Amino acid sequence: MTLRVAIVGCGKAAENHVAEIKKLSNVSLIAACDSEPLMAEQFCLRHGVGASYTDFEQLLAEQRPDVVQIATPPQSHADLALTAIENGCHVMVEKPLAESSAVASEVIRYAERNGCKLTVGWTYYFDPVVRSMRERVARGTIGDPVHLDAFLAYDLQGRFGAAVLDDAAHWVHGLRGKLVQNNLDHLLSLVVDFVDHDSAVSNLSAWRATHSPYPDLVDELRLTLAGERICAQIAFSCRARPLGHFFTIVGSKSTLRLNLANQTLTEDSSSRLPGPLGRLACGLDQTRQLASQSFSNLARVIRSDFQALPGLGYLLSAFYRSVERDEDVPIPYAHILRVSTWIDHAVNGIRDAQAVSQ
Amino acid sequence: MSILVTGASGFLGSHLVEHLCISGAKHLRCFVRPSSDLAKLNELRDKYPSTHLQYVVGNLLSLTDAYRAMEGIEVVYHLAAEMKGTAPTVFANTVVASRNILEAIVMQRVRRVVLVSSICVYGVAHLPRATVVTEDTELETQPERRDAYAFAKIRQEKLFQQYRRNHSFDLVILRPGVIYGEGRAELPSRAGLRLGPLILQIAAQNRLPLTYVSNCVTAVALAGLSLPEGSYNVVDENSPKAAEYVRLYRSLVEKITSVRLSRSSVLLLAHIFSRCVALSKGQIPAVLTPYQIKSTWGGHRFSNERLRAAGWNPRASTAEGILRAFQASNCPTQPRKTRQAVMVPPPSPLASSEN
Repeated sequence: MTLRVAIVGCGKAAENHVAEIKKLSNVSLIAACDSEPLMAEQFCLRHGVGASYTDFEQLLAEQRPDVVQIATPPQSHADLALTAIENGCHVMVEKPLAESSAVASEVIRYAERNGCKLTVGWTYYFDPVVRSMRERVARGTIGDPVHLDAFLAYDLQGRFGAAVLDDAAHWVHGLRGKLVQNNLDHLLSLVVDFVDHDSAVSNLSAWRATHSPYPDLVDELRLTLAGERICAQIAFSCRARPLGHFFTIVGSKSTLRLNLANQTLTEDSSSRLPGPLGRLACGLDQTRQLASQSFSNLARVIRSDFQALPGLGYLLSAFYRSVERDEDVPIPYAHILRVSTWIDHAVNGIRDAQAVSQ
Repeated sequence: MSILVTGASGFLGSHLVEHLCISGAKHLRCFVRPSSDLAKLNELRDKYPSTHLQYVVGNLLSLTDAYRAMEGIEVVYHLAAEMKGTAPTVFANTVVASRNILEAIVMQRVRRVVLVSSICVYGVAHLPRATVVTEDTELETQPERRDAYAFAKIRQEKLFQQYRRNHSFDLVILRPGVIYGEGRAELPSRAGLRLGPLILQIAAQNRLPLTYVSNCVTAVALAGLSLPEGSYNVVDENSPKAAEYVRLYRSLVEKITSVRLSRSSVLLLAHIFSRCVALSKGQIPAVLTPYQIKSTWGGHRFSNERLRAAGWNPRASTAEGILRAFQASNCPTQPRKTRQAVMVPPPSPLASSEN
């Protein structure tokens, strides 16, 4: 059975989606929709998509897709998802699923009631090094998780950041938590498997470090997710260089360090050798691991499995499989809701801090 | 006469603004983005106090900003376009922005519109080498096979022509070749592909369709005043061969290593590369396709006869232009331009030189 797929939103995010959809054998991209007709037109022409729409409901009525991938700005995610579900479509929504956890919860409940599958664009959740890390943690390699550290450096002069700075009407400025709200999924989705269920946002610090025309564009954030057993430190920075995306999970036996940008995963463990010999051995062990990773990554290049967003293909593949076989969705809804709640708390914390400073 | 220049802080835009100031323009409005570097324009504002130079800070993706910029305008020079970034970004900032400008032009009943397009809009991949491309040559019919910039410029031009058919403004379309000058003397892709300290010269015997910025600006200004409606190629005469240009560049600007590749060998490499791109499932970006090579390095020549006949006289010869540009880029008092985002205060509704 070939699944009929439609994309709504024909901007940068849709480019990533279409690249992965084209690789799937059981999926056919039949239509694209954008409220800006020129954007819909260019997308369809460049990607050979047969039907271009500016009216989403018209697309649903005429094309009857099985799955809708929503790649629009976050402000429209929930409404589009609800409309798609109402029309019996399974839905993949770019992150964040909705502007608040209350709305995210409503969308998920509606999907469940209507027997539709739903997932969110947590690309990094299925990144190969993250999957490998989860497997090693599950095998008990690191013992019990003790501490987590997630870090994302963002380029405000980069392709996306420059568009935000150049356009006072950019949708990022319309989000309550602006840039931070649009990026927290990348960090919180990495820790959601390991923190305590009752973890709450604490020690939030947010500030503006880059001079820009937008006084409320927070570009630095630090927060702690504190639970009974484990804490997670979350950091988002527009000043830090090199640009990177790192995750560290400290365990009771050893520590795993992930570099998502460079696709490396290394383990720090105690040496059995004494004194300087032990320290030397640890360095050599790190060298061995990085060399091994480099060869593995070279093999991935040869296998054409070293994409810029390697987790997105896995996510889509797993989601379409869940649709076809009526299996569990790749990302548990409880995870999505917990992350959404933390983002709410972070955004509220930022707003409160801004209110006090004013 | 009130004039609007979009893309005014860019390389061509700032030269045009200076030319218009020198020509005695009384009211000149510059549309700039919030992150535009305004140093050059500020310098011009101080240098030519008799011209009332206004800035409108905004983004042409906003129809409101386009309307705001267009109030009371009689002549528009539309230079703004996106040259870098992802395909949707280039398209949005070039084509969607143009649609907004056109809506504002219609709303404000602007009298005359000058669009700065590009020679890349022609469909030349199938034309034999040394074919002379005139304004009557057909536009690209397979834009999706071209790079993001060409794709957007082709659609932009069609959009302007579509609006012209349905509305009553005068439209002059200029299609410049490779614009160079003091402050922009880097090697153009038509001269070869730059890989760090190396340049791969593709089809070194091709003549480069160059236009020196002062010559180009003269044509653009003329288009706003008296050129008959229609489209015009803007290329200088006596253009050098790519090999000659690179040789001069190496002797005057920067020591680089050049490797010459014949067009046929590059085509073969492009076929192999395209196969690798397909096998890599998008891991390698499709930056070089055989179709793009035929379009860019096909050895076509571009005629400027129509523009010449309409009264355009280049100010500088190609030899002079190249010498000036290369010497300026090597002059320590005039540092080479580096991309630098300069933040400006929050956009005011309409900031002017008097404010």
